[in-house]
Amino acid sequence: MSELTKFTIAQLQKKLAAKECSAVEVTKAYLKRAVDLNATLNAYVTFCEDEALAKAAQADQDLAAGKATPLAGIPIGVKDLYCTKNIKTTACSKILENFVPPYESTVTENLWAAGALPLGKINMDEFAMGSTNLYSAFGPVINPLKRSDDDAQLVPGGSSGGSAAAVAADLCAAALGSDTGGSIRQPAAFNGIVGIKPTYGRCSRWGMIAYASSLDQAGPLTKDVTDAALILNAICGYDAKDSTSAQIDVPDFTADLNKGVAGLKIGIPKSYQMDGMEPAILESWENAAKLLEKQGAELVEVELPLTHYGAPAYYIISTAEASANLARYDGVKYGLRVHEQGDSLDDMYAKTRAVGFGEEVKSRIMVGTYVLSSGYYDAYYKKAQKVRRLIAEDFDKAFKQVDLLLTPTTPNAAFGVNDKLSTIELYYNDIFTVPANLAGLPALSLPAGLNKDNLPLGVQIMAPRFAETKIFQAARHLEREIAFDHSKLNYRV
Amino acid sequence: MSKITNKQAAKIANLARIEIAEAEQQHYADKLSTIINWVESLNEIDTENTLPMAALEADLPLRADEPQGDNIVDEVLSNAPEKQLGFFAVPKFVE
Repeated sequence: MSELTKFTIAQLQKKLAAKECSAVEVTKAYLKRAVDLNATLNAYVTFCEDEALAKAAQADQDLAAGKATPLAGIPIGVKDLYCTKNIKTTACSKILENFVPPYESTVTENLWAAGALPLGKINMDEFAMGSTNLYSAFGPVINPLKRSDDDAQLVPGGSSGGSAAAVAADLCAAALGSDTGGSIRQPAAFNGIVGIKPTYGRCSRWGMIAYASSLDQAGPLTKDVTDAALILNAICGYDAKDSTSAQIDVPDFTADLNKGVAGLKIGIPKSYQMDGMEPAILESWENAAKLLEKQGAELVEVELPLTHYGAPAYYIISTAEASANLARYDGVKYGLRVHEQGDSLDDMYAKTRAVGFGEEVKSRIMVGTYVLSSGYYDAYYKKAQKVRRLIAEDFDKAFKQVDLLLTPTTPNAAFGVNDKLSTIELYYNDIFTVPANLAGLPALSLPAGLNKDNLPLGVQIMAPRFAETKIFQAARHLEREIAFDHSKLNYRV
Repeated sequence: MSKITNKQAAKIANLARIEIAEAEQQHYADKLSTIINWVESLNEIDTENTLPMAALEADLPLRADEPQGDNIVDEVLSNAPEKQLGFFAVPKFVE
């Protein structure tokens, strides 16, 4: 039974079609493994056993009748910021601990329409704010991987850390994440799996609990590149319910997976080389570049001089937007209410939010409030918006020279749950991923090497807006050439 | 170097409608100071002739503002901490 949880989506599709296993069997295998290992990894916050098995039975019927949809019977873990109708959705915050949405997010609706089924809701940093998963009201997720020479618990990254851990530990066939500043790609890198943030506007944000609306984008975390394309095929598309949804055709993202890379121009931005970065990160990056060049891609050095300013610009823009978006949690319409006899309406707001939000969320709301406040707006918020434009323009210039950009995904590998990193050190985790969010670009991370502790390292491929197909073309080629050996990793489960 | 004082932290918390105890003021003042000092590195960039970028799309499409859907009052109220007569109920705030 447990073997069934090893397969990629593409492999499962074949096995289901050939009747080598049933969707119900696959779903039961995943549910058993996910429930059994949750005490160790804490990846799930809610299980949807009934829904999963009902949809699996339906998928089996559809498969038998020859009318199966593309993802029929594929079990998915859903980050707990997607509203799922009649299934508790918390954003891993105490303020939403009892919230049961009366509606379904567009992205999950698209997935279920394609035949996929929900195993459960997955742990995350509260309101997607964080890069460690230490900021969940339901406790931290533990990375299924460990260093070669010690047993220390490592962070899975964040904010889609639960999604990454669940995929890496075979607790779901694939997971939905969301990426505001790297929240899909950084955890994908920390767990040795694949994650893509598509172009801003590709996936509807309707029913995704908002963090920073001009940056938030849905995307999958998967066992390999092909699976990422398969999930993206299902979840993308125009949605009138999201005013920033792109009115542009969705291509078949699997179309060019086996096209090779001959003739592609790959940009290598030197600014992604940081002082003090582990040598193994540079090595895996250089190795990936060489593997592309060997098969006929042309490497071009490009300038992205403002790379290091992306993170500070991001922290102004994202906190500003968060301070507005999270104003809705006020104890009136849904969620927690803290109110004592004699309290005014304002007292109720302030007490509800004091009890309901965690420390990091409060800090970010306060930073956002500060940078938007009278007298500081121009100096911080407007300044950051100007820098955002300059960063986007630098990418435009680079993409006049090249088709894709290749960079490391993160400046470091996964670190310990108990390592004491400063606020700024933590924020620098996003330094290589944030620019794609600021410019709205698609970007994918795939495992590319190991560090000295035998932990996985990722490389990131970025493309111009709406050029995901080219990312998949290069990523699949790299995946084949790198031949990343997951059996060399040290799994704790 | 910007330094957020305890008094400023308390003011910001009040603007954000988050109650913070006096004992927490120092923590938030320090954390906000650290973050604000860090983001001030943006001042190293010349943005004199650059327009702010508020959204990725230059112009967002408008749509007709028409009511949609059926009567969903019960659904809308289904998560309300307190409701009365088909409305959200809040503590009395007009004397």
